[in-house]
Amino acid sequence: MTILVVDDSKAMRMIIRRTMREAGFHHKLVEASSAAQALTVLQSTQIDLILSDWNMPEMNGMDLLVKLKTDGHAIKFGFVTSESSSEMQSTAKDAGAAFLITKPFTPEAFRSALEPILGG
Amino acid sequence: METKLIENAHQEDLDHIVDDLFRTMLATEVTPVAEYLPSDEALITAIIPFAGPWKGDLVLECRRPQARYYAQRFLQIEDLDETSDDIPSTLGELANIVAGNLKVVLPKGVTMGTPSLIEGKDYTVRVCGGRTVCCRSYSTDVGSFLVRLIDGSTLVGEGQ
Repeated sequence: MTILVVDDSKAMRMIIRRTMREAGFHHKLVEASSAAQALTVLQSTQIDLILSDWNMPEMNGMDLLVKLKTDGHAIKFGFVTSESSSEMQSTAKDAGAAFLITKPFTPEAFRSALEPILGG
Repeated sequence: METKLIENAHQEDLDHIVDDLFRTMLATEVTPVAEYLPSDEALITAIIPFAGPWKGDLVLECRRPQARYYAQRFLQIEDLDETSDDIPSTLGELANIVAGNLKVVLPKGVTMGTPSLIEGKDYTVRVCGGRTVCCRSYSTDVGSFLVRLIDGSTLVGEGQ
């Protein structure tokens, strides 16, 4: 299983990578620094789950999710974002996101969100 | 219609968000202090803009050596090179997390931009027509940092 981490912040991509390990998930991770780059990665790599930031320049995480759904992708998708209003939670859910992890986060938050998808 | 924030209205929210962020992701205790950053030392400033029914900016700044310490703790890298890009990237991400959590208590419909970063000496960040509504320094065991919330809204009929 391969997981794609999409975040314009290199620091956050590093933190997500580390937190995944701390949460006990040792899957293959690939990174993209923008939604556009994520779409390019998807053309050449089999991705099973996308962990994406919401607030990114140009094409944001929600735009990416909508684009994937429009293009017929069935890849599991979750947000890792600093914004977590109830409005955003419901927008994410309505758009087909499997979960929304709020920054700051702990390994437990990752376990809770990802175990139903990746298993324990 | 634009909204104007009342001075200090969100100071407690900011205190809570900053404390939670540093405790959770840097394993670092923060304490509010009355200390301001000297402009003649090398500083890093991260700015997150807000737009929509309320306009303003969240500013997080500290001296360069403190930014390096925070990056080392955030990324769990023991000896980060002093010139590493991970230092400003970390400060931008810390500001992004504070702003994102604050957005929940800001007027409905406010949108948030991505971080802008400034590094150097002898500079001051001002927002045209802006008014600082929250300003607090926080000390840690590796030095202090400053968080400001600037209201960039203009009230209709406000002395223009």
